[in-house]
Amino acid sequence: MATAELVLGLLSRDPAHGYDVKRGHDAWFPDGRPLAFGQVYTTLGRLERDGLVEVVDKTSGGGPDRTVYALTDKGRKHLADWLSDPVPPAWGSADEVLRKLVAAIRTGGDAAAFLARQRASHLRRIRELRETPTEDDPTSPLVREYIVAHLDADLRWLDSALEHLSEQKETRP
Amino acid sequence: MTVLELSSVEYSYRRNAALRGVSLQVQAGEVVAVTGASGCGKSTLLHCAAGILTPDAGSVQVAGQDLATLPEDERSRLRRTKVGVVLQFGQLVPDLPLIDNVALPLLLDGHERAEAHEAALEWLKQVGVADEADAVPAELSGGQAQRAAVARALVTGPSVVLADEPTGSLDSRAGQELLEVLLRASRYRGAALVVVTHDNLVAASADREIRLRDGVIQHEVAL
Amino acid sequence: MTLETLVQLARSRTPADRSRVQLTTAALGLSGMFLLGALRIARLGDGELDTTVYSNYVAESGLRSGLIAILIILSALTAGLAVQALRLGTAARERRLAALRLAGASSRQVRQLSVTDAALAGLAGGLLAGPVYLVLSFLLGALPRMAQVLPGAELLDLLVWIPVVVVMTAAGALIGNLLHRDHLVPRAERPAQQPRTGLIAGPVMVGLGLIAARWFGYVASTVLVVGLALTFLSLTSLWIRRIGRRLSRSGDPANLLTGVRLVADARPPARMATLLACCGFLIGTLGNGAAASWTTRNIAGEPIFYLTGFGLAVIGLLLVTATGLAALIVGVADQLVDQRRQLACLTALGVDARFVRRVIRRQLTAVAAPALAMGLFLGSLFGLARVVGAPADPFRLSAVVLTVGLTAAGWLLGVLGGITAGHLLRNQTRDALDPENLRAA
Repeated sequence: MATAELVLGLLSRDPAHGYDVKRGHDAWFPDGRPLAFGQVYTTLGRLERDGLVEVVDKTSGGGPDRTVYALTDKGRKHLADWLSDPVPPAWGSADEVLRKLVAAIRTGGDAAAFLARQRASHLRRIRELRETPTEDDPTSPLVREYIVAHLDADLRWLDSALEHLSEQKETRP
Repeated sequence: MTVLELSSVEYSYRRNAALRGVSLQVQAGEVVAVTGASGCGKSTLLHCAAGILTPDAGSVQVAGQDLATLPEDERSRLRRTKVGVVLQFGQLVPDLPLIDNVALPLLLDGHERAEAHEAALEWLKQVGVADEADAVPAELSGGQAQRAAVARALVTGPSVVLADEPTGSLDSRAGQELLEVLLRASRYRGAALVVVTHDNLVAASADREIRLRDGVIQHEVAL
Repeated sequence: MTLETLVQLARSRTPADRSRVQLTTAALGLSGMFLLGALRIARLGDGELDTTVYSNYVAESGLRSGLIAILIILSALTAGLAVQALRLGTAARERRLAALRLAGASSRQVRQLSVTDAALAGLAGGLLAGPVYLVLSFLLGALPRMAQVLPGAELLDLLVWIPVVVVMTAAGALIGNLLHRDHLVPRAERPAQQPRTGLIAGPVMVGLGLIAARWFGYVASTVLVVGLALTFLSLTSLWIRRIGRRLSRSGDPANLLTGVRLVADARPPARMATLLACCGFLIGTLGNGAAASWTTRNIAGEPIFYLTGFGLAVIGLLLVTATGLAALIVGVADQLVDQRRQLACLTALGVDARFVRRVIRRQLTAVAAPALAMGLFLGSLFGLARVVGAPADPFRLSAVVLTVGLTAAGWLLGVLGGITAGHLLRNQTRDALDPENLRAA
């Protein structure tokens, strides 16, 4: 799961504390499952351990403790690498594609280039699947068709996303 | 070796600009998919490449020769021998049996009937409709007619085949089969294939994807 | 392209094309026959001949030259029909040519195919002309002496036939070349420019012809008829469009469809309406002339002489009228075949064959009835005497009655033609409405 990279994305604009990260995530994926508080803090802890984020402010005033995190340069690079890398097209990879796309748009990355690369990656995978003969058993062809059909559905969604982005760019130059 | 080269091609239908400066090169044996939403200019691009439309600006070179500088007869001969065209439907001459339809480019080129028929039959076998050689297009299924169109596109041994939504009028299975026929036949001839399509499963077979939007290339990626 | 390929590709085998070629062949065959007849009479020389052997029309040198002229005009008229016939099925033919172009044919090759197609029809027509001429000369030989306007066929005709075949083939090729249109991609039809020149030049020529008829005889008559044709041509195309537009605004769906079809393809009906109007005009003048010679009875010679002349001329013109109507009907049939997909869509909307027949009837009636009535009205009003430049009588009551009668008859004939067409085309209508057509791309 790419929760770690999403957290990096959420921190990429401004330093924020855990609660802001959670709220930011839920705003990015309003129809998705909300991020659990526990997961936010364990993720931030792990990122801090790996040197991808750092604590920039710690207040313990009248209210609860608030720890403000910010991206380190290493973290910023990690995020950029993640965003430029297409998701290996596999079963159930669409969630990941969506995460990256949202993160790319929200953090001001080159979403169109990402989509183009993702398209190419999906198309390549379809060709690979088509070129390797299936096993001679009753279910392999079915599984193959299932995967190809889902990749095709992803591709159609990628197409419309690309179209959507271009239209937005035209209306808001 | 470059078999097809378009340089800054522009084309407008009345006031609608369909192509606004598109350049592309196709190498021998390469498979290129041209994709994009409806109305992005992809079919116009193909028609310009095939010499069906004459660009308003820019140039089209087939096998190193600029179409615009050739006299009409030479241009037709070049189109006939160096370029094969497969459209979505309606490209077969309605009253001619398949074998004559496939032999047509050879016949127009002045070949003897027997010789042309022999070559045509060979290609009909290659694409799997040899049994229908004497049928007229109206008696065929859409898939069979498209196969015959593939045979006709390849019968003269072109260096590039241009296909405009070749599977567009077929269901997914027949489309898949046709695509395989088209790829196999082009590969067998060593011809480059440029296929205009909105079908991702067709595009997946290409070596390169060129995506058009509003008459310009939006992106180009190797697959 | 080898000659074999050329001939093979030129001969289209679609049913629409076959009927088009058959009609063209028949028209050119008739044209060739008239030409053979004209040449046969011309071989008689220019002296007076024995009126006990030959019909007066052949024997008297003055009438003979007139007869030759008439035969040549008929030959040209039927060749004109061939032009019309060859135009049929334009949309389907253009699709075929576009398919050939896609297969790599150059525009010159496509032109060669069009020309060869028409030339072959000409060749067949020329070959047909011989036997038809033979049959006609036998048939006429069986008639009373006065009606034997063709002297019997002779061996020399066989020799003359060869150049006639050549001429008809050349005529076919010429027509094919003139009519050839070539677009790789079908272009949107350019709206026909309004024929204003015809509207001015036509009546001027009519006036000139009428005035000059007294001194210049046949030359002036020809000018008048040509002027009339020009006027009719420019008037009909205007008015067919206008009727079409008015009908297409109508609330009645049958009228609406009729109007749309008239506006969409106004040129062929305009040409046919012109032909019908001209025939109507000539029949009107002849009717007027016959009536005049009947009532006054003060002309020299046997009445049988005049009646034969008028009779033959009217029969000839009626033949041309019938052919014109036939061409109009074939044109509509052709439109039906061409639009079968759209019509089949109508079936899905619950339109039945009877409705479409009504549309066809209206479409034909709207063109043919006014044209015929107008031609007959003007013809019988002017009268033969004015047209050929003889001193004309003042209008008599009988002439007015005749004019009204003939006009009504012309209208009726037009309506009848429409009804006949609806009946004749019932199979085509049914076929066109067949939902099966929705399958054909």
